[in-house]
Amino acid sequence: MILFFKSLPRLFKTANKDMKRHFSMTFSSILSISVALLLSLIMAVIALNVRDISLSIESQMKLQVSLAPSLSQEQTTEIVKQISTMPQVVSAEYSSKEEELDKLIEENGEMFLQYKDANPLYDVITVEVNPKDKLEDMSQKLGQVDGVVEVSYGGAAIQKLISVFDSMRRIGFALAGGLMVLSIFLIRNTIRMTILVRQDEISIMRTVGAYNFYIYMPFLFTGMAMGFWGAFIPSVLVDAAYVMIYKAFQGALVSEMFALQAPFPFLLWLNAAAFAAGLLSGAIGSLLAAGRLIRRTR
Amino acid sequence: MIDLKQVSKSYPKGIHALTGLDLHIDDGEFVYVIGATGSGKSTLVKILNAEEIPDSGSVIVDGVDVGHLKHRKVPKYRRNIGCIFQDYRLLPSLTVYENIAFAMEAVGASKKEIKKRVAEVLELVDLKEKAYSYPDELSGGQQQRVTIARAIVNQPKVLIADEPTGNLDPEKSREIMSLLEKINETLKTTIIMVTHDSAIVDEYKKRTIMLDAGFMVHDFAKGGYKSL
Repeated sequence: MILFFKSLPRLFKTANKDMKRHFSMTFSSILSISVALLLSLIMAVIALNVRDISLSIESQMKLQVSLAPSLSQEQTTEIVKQISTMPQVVSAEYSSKEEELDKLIEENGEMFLQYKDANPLYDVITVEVNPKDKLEDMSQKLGQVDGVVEVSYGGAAIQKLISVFDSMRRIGFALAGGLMVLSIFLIRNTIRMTILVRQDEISIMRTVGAYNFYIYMPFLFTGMAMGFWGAFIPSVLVDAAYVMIYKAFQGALVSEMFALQAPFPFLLWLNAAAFAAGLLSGAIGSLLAAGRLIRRTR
Repeated sequence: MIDLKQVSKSYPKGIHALTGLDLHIDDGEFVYVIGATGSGKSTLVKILNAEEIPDSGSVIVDGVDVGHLKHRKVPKYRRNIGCIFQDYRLLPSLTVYENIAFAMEAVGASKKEIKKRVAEVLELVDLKEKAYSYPDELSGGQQQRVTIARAIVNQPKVLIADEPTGNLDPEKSREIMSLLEKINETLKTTIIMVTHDSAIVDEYKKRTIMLDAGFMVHDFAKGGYKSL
């Protein structure tokens, strides 16, 4: 252990020399990790913000269940009771067609006064469902209840938007994952080249009795250094861009409903994740290349 | 010091490299190992250097049971064994000084120790003025002397020389032999030298062990090819 710490400066020096020796390969490995992590970071920024937004939308979403005009008072009460006992339902509020019209007039003006005599609206039940359940499934289920004419929810367009975001997010992460694998292999190849170049050195080290760690540590450091720089570049870019956007839009897009996450500590976690991913992929790449050296053979 | 009892080693495809070898070498001895190609010389060297594990028998070097050595203990064991090769195996991008220092760096010696010890061995192999030359600026004999310096810099108890004069003319071979004798006498290092060079074996008479097809066929204390 003491020997390990004593050797650290020398091991770092060797790793540094290796990276300079294969600068172009090192550079392309770093670039590839950078692109993969940049993509992942952008996706993560969007995903984490959208998740917050969709949560706030979904929690506000309510279903409007229109009832057939022919129903009697008892039947209506029965249906309200039936709906409010469903496990997914948080609350169910009955409102008669007269009340609905009053609401309409209140919200949209006097022009609806003309319908006072011949009210075309239905009696409705406003159902709030558990945010974890899909509104679409729930609306289908409610549609099957006897006496229900129509089930509607205001958020259809927003739901669609969320699902588009969702698939974008999935494609983005798949792409970033693929690039990550590619960069691991690039690192592996870079380090394998270094090992080939240093083969004589390694065999002499073995002959004079160098410990395994002394032989493979420089390669691990090289890989992790590549991962570090590969995470550093996109982190700086994303941080700068996010802070700029946040300031420009004053923390919210379009309306209060689309509030952005505050840069701190959001970016801090994001950067930590990027560095962890960079260092980890660097370490995996170098271990893949130097596996033969690590195994204790004679 | 070195004690081999009934050591056998065979390779896949049924090649018997060593068969029932019994050998004892005392501390500070200088021994030649001779024999035709495929006689088992290299296998013997590899077993002593812990590169190969014998199939049966016991190999004790300086109290260490080499055959049953755990993999992680091999590096520490090797520090007691210096190796010299026919093809020198120097690092071309390092100077003579750095090549020798490299062996000490690899085992974690401090800069101060390295500086002191490398100066000592350079003096011993008579290459002080070449300390900052690169290997390709040196003659074959000088390069072999650097290899010897590197092999002894960590003060091993045993020095294994695998055909150290194989690439050298007779005059340079003598230089190397004188140096090995000097190391053997002054440092009391046990030396096992594998060689094909009958002139050297005859001129510098030492205990000579002859291998043939994996068997030890002669162990002659007075030495020399002619006496076999």
